Amino acid sequence: MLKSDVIEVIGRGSSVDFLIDDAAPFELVTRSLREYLEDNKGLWSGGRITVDVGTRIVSQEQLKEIKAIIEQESGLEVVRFSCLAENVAPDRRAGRGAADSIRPSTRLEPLPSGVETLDLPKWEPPVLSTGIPAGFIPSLEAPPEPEEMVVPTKPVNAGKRQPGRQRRTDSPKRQWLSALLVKSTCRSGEIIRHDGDVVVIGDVNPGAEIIAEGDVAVFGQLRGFVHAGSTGNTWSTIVALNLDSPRIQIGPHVGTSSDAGRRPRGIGTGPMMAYVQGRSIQLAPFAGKLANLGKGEPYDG
Amino acid sequence: MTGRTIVITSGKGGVGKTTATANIGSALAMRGNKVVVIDTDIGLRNLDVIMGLENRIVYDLVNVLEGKCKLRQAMIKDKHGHELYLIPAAQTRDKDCIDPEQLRDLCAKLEAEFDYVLMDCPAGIEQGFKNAVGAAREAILVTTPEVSAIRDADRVIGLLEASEIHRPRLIINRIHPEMVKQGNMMDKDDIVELLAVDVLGLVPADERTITAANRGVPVVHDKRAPSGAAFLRIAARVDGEEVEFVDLDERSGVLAKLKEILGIDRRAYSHA
Repeated sequence: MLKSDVIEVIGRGSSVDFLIDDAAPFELVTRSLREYLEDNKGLWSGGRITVDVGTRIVSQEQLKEIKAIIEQESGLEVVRFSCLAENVAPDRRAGRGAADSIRPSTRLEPLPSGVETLDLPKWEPPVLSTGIPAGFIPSLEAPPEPEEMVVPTKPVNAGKRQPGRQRRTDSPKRQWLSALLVKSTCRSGEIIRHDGDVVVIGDVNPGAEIIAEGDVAVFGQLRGFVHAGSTGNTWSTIVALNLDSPRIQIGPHVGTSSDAGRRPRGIGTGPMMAYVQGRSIQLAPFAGKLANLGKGEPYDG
Repeated sequence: MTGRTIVITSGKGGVGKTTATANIGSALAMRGNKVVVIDTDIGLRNLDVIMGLENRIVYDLVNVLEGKCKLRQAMIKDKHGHELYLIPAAQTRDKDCIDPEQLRDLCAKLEAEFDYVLMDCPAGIEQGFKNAVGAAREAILVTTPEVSAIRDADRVIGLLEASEIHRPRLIINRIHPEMVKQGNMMDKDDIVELLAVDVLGLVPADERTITAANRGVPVVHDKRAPSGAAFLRIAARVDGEEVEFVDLDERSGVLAKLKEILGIDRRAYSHA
């Protein structure tokens, strides 16, 4: 991954993304882009690329400018912009009304005059595996066939997911809380509070407490007290390689195990997941992707 | 000479910190090291009693730190003729009358002259603990195979790490091999699994430890005491020697092995 402050360039198999910081001022973006391309001139030898502008609100003018900079400085050809359709602000000079600003995503956004020809974009699932939901690509022209997607001669690292970008999810239910990674054993007397998820690589010993607004995952023995969903949400889960805690809490629901040695029938040792069902905490063997959600047994002994 | 300053601590009281200090100090001296032991349990001094030096106290640690006497004047030489000295605690003062920096300076002076500076830490995690731990560079953690002592030890490991003493080494004191065998007492592996520290030694429960302490002669001087032998091995390990861990239960044999193979496990305790 090549990175300047606001521009990131990521190769994904046979394509290249220019990821542009959503929050950076546009002037900074254009300047950085120019600098970046100048510095890395040797990297490109022609080809067609996609520019992902993220959630930035852009105008047609700005898209045009970015396209111009890239084509001028690198010899690459910008064939497509990807962004959420509603983020493309109407071009005032084109005299569009505000009502026009939200369009169906499949509708082609006409380019300002003077920039190439315009076709209605043919909707295709995004070639890039950014986890970006469907319905977000107003294209400059129809995407080329995959084999025609020429990349620069030195493709950069193949597709790493962009943490920040995954926030753009279509599901409002999903919580995107920042996670805290604890890379040591939590010992008696330690309290870890975090307003997101907590991941512990190590044990949570008796007398230690973890209080997280989101989920808690323990890669080790969980013998201390854990409170997931501390602001009251009940959809948080607790996962541990060995869940041996005398008391856990999810949202307002407390589960106690009077005898840590006694487990609900059918539940052995190994990775466990605790979650709330009804008003009680349930415990189920952990299987990836929460497959066992709903198949557990009450935690209370 | 650059000596090593080691604090002997536990968190919980009554697990044998003072006994361990006296015995490790004596054993290290018997091995030919120059050793000084400092009792930092100000207000509740015990180390002098266990070492049998109670009658010889004139000056104490607080006198030294306040500059009321010279360091040499407060150092009491052990009875057994080795290079072992005791700096006793003050009995009439409390823990707040010294601070970690003073103690650190004192230890630095002593390190120049001695191979080992052992500090007997008071129980608890308050000022007395902070004083001793702040002055030390290494730590020996004493625990007994009891859930409460282990809980406290765990807390102390966390606090030691917070004050930049990493990898304390663990002494498990007062092990009843018979009870471990019956599954009524945590064994070494259970404790180590929980605390995740290196074990320095295992000391069996031994009546001779108590009689020795009452007489004021550390048990390492008793050739027939299994606990004395255990402390000698611990001192050797502190000194950098590789010593094998011995099985504390002489009776462990075919039956135990058989039970292990059959997976008969009758643990009556829980970690929680």
